[in-house]
Amino acid sequence: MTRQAYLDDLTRLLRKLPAEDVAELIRDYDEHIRLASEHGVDETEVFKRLGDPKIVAKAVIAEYYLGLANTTKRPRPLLRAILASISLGFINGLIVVPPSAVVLVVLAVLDIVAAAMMATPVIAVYGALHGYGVTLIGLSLFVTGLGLFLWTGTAWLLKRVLSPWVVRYLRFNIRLAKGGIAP
Amino acid sequence: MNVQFKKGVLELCVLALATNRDRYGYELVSAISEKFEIAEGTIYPLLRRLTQEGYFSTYLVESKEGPPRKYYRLTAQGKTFSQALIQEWRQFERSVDQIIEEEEEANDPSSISR
Repeated sequence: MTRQAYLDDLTRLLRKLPAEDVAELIRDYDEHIRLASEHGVDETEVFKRLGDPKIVAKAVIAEYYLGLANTTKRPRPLLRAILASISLGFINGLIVVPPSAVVLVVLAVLDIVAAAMMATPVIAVYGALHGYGVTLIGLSLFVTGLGLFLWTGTAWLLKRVLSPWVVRYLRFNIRLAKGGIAP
Repeated sequence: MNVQFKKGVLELCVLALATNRDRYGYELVSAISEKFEIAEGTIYPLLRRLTQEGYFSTYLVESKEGPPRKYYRLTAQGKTFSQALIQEWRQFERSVDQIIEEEEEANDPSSISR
């Protein structure tokens, strides 16, 4: 592998990060490779020691999101930091994935129930057309109201309660991933 | 080496290495990979994050041959952070040693006095 091939590989693997950050790191690796050969390190040895571009890119992505996690309150970059850390083995996926899955399933079930409740007028109208009582329509409207209530309730829960809690939990895991005390 | 150990320790090591003088990246990386088996390339993103978090400041020094070298200098904030980490490490190390030694003593047949 040549210096240019190694750096090109890295650049390609890092295409999702801001160009400025990537350029800076590529300069670092370029400097490293040149200094290593100045120190008489064999060319193939240099790349072996630096590590597979895939592993290096993973570390770059993890550190990028870990850094971003300090300045953001949005769950998405935090989640990226966590996922990158899991893929590197800095965090055990078991402590993040099952709780997240449970929360998501509960939310999904609540939303499906709410959607079903809101859909009841359709069934009631169908029923009325086929000779069932008109009271059924009244009842279905009541259920629709409940469904709407549940739907907005779930949205409120997600935004006001769950999101801040998730952010706190993710931050806690990020502190673990950094392996230091909280700054 | 256990990846969970290594991760926590790397941050401490790069900070500790820059305590007495400014270091350039290759120097830091070589000093660390002499002691631990790691993919050297993973240290640069760590250095970059520590810089962005305000623990290091960097400057370039031109050299006669070869590329300019990027030097890392511990900031005041970095020194405080580094000292806190080192202290925490010492405490941790002592506790682990104590546990290991106590168990070894309990197992030592020559020390049976019960």
